[in-house]
Amino acid sequence: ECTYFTMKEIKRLYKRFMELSLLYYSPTELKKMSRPTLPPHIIATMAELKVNPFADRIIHVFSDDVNGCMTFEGFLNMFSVFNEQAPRDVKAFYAFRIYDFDGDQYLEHGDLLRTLERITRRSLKDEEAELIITKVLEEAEMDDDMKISFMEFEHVLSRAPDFLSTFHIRV
Amino acid sequence: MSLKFRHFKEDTRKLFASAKLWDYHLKQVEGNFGSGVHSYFTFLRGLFLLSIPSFILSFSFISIPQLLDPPARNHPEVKFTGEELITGANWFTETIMYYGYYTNGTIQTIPGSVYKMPLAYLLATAGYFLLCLLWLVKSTATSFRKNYIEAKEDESDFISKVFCAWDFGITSDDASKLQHTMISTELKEILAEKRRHKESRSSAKKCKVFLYRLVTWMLYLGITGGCMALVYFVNKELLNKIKIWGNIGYQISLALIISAINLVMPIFINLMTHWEDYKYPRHEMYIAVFRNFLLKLGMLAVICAFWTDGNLKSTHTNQTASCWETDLGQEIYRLVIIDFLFTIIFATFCAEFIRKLLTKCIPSLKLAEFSIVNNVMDLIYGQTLCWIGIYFSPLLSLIIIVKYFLVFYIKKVSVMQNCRMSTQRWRAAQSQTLFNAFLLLSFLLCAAFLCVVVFLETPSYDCGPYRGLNRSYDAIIIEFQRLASDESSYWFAVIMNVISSVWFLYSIVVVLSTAVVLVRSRSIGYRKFAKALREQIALEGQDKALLLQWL
Repeated sequence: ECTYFTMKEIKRLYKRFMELSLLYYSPTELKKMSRPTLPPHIIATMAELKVNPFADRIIHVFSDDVNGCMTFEGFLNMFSVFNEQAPRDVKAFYAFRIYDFDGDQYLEHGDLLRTLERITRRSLKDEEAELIITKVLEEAEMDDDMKISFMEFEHVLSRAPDFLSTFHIRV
Repeated sequence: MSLKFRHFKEDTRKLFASAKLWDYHLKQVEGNFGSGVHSYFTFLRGLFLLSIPSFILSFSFISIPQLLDPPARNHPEVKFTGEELITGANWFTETIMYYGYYTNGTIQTIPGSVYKMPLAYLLATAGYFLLCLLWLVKSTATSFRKNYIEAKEDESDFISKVFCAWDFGITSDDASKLQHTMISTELKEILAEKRRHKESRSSAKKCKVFLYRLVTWMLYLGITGGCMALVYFVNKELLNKIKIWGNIGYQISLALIISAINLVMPIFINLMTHWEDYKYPRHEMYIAVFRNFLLKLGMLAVICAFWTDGNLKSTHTNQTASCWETDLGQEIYRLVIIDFLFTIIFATFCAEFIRKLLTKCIPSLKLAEFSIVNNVMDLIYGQTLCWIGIYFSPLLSLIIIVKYFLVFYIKKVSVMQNCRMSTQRWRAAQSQTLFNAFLLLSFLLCAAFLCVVVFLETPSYDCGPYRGLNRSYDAIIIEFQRLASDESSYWFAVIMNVISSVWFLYSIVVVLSTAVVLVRSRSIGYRKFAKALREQIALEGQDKALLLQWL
């Protein structure tokens, strides 16, 4: 109901979900399960997520239980947020949770450092990374607490026009 | 049986669902080359879909009725040879391909119905232009609203680099490795720049740069003027030779010259703009694109002005049947075909394919990057030609549809095989707005030209749906007068009188201007409000820090 997909696309996604399930479960097991869940390492084999450095964070954010297993609703939700029709605030909300590695509703030094490492594959020197993190905090900060809350993050993204086009997976 | 029918219905619906055409190909391109090249192919698909209603409108309302009642040909002895496909002349001249063939009377093959060709011709073209206008305004407005954010001029803002740099649509390994390198290089560059404390230019350097720019603008205007004059003189010289049927060499020479200029001049213009040493590479790109665009439009304008010039049109004392609309239509047709051939041969085959072969011999030479900006501007130029030509050659839309179809597949194959991913990050948002704006601009210019042709120019005396009239628009006026005098359509005449009166238009203009002023003042108010709120947040943050200190 709340996705940005058409009926046809939802059916196509369901087919892909079923194909992935068959990699993990046997067909008889699958028939018995009413709501199959997929473990994260199976979802990470999808072509769209395989080369993404944030694949594990994405799966974690959209998964339904502590182990990181995802039902079909979570699967659908994940791709509908990355759909090009999803509005900016929805994408910003989930982007914040993806970049928030320790899950404390703030993007602090540690979260930013790990984000940087992921996107540059550790090719930056330590002092360069520190400098970048300081600059980011300077630019985003509005209330001087050295961490980025969701409000500040959303405000900052409203000034970055490319966010909508890069935060987009075509499925 | 019914299951098969349902499958068939689903398949046809899948084929015609407009946003889903070529989806698989687009995904492949995006996965391997990122969102920049993907936006080029989406733009191409949009233009392709826009041409389809054009063809349906013109073919069903203009061409099919004429086919039911073909007029007699003036030159029945000319037969079809293969060269018409390139020159568009000879046998094609007196077919439904061009304006000159259409009758100015009514078609009454189906008993009881009266189908007025002049009205149909004008209204179908007007309908298509209205459709294009609506679509273009809507797409420009949405992209402007979504993407035009008052970004800081200083391009090095870290937030957007850190959080928006990774293109989530990439699916290939090589592309992702390249992205990692790209992002880390960019970040390092920005840090180095900040460390260098970029010095502002001294006034002596500013003077030098100003002189350079003056010189290059003069040079550019000189080149453009020269090309336009060249086109004019060549056209004038070849005027008589073009009209001789069968003279293929002379007929295509003008189109060859124009396409050659379009191929070679942009290289010089880009170099010139590079020498001007702009502070931001983005500005350099905008200016180069604008200059190239202006050059192409300038040459087109010369051709259009040449053929609509009063001296060349036949008067009713001149015996040789001379149909300037058909001639202009043929010129546009030749331009379209030759431009297509040049794109395929030079831009795709030579630049990309042969370069790939050369990379095997010369190890230091790398594969070509797919130049998104140049290719999009080529598309816009092609679409401009189509808009100008659609009035003079109703079947041009079919040619354009076939052209776009072929271009899509050829370009896609070429990109996948011969190009490598660009090393510069593609700022999708601003470029999308820019391309939409250029498309809208060229559409408005074409529409203005056609308004001049319809409302001001005298049509040819002995060919076309408006022969014998003073202006093409007179056909509509005659129809209105007929409706006004006819008893049964009295109310229609009254309404049309009101709408076309000056006071009605004046009041519409006043209402729209007031609406614009109101909306603008509201937006200024919102901006001030947002600024005040931002200051308030900063103050609250300081208060919070102070309170924490006291505890």
